[in-house]
Amino acid sequence: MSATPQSMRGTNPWTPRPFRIEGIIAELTSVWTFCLSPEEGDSPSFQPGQFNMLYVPGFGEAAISISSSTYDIPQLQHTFRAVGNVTGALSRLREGDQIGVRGPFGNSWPVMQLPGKNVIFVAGGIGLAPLRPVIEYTLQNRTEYEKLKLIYGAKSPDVLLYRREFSRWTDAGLEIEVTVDRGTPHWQGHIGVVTEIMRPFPGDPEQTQVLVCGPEVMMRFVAREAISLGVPPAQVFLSLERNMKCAMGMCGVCQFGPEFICKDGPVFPFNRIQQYLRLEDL
Amino acid sequence: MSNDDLVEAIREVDCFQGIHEEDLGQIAKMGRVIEFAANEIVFREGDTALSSYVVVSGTLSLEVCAPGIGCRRLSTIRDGEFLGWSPVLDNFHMTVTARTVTICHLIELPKDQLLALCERSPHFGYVFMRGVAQTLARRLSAARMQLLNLFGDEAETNAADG
Ligand SMILES: Cc1cc2nc3c(=O)[nH]c(=O)nc-3n(C[C@H](O)[C@H](O)[C@H](O)COP(=O)(O)OP(=O)(O)OC[C@H]3O[C@@H](n4cnc5c(N)ncnc54)[C@H](O)[C@@H]3O)c2cc1C
Ligand code: FES
Repeated sequence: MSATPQSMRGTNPWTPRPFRIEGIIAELTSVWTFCLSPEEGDSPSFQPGQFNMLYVPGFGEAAISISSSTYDIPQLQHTFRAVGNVTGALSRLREGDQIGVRGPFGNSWPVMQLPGKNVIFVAGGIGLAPLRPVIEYTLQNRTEYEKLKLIYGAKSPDVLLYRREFSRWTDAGLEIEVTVDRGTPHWQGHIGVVTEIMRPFPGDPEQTQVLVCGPEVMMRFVAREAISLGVPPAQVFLSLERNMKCAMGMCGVCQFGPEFICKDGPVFPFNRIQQYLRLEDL
Repeated sequence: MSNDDLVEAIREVDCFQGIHEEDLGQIAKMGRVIEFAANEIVFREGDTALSSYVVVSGTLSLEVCAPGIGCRRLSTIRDGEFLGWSPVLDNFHMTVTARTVTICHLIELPKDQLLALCERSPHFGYVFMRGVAQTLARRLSAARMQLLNLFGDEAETNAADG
């Protein structure tokens, strides 16, 4: 895992760099993907799981994960849901507009620990966005892994993110199983929560790494299920979200127990954060 | 489906894990394989609870219907799962509607014969009822997770309109 914000070399990590919105993909109701390129110089390289602080003048900054592939650096992508001040302002921008970008920040999914193992990605809702770079990474290096499986849960079939990618991912060697909380009359897939389709467990749990991203309560249930099925807690990784300000471990806004989510995370092995997840409010 | 195939299908079901071979043979003897086309009703909510089922192949959805709301599909049952706990827990009526999503092969197990086997073979009765309880516990826990509304009301998050 890398904790070094890579773009920081030679640039001021406090100052957002201007990026142009080259394209906007309307993904779902209130969810968009921005395709960004820097006004000057190259896009910074990043690791799967890292995030940037996106800045809209007059509104402020929000932490948004990088959702594009590490093999396609010039095409930096961020997928966000308009929930508040900054993301609402982002959603009103148009192609050709400029935003500020600081980052990348945080550590990455444990890519060095995955070769030779089964890898199960468990995503909930738009939690698939932070997992997309690591899915793309493993598919680019497909022969290094045993089974690759995505277990994806969403509220209903019409809010499944990146559906257009599914057949390409399947062709590249990713097994995909989707479940929704509420089926529609035409939905032929599974209905129910993600933990239900973790059984029967695909492969030897001791030889499996589970990468989880979604609403925090979902991640707790998934971690518990994975562990009860025999996956060691150190092999279950969650990507956590908390409000962020500096994104560099200086202000303390994102503190979670002894950890700073911006600097020590956002990706944590379950055994490291388990005791703090029990508390209702940290 | 041959008797051997029937025994193998029953052996795969969670609720029957750990039962003696002799009891497995008894279950196979009482079972009848039924094929359903896609979108057929296996049983309806409120039907008299007469039989439980083992799903050999295919998927089904469980639905509840209410006046003014219509029918809501709550969960999916897949091959290898036990379907219909009401009959064996002495509920008089089925509590949901089971509808096939794809072509399904089910083994129908008459309640009277299943319960008689539980009486005759306490080991079978214990293993089977424990399995039913575990299946129910998992479904209860899943229903609780659904109640938590994990993904929020995604349609409401449209700060974009502001
Ligand atoms: C590492 C990391 C990665 C992330 N990646 C992504 C990503 O890829 N995509 C994504 O969409 N998000 C992502 N997030 C989440 C995103 O950073 C937060 O949702 C952020 O708060 C959005 O900023 P905002 O200014 O738009 O919302 P805010 O204005 O900060 O609002 C955030 C939440 O608070 C609620 N809220 C706002 N104002 C009020 C109020 N007055 N009273 C009550 N509730 C209120 C909103 O409804 C919303 O739920 C990530 C977060 C982290 C930490
Ligand atoms: S955001 Fe400032 S310490 Fe993490």
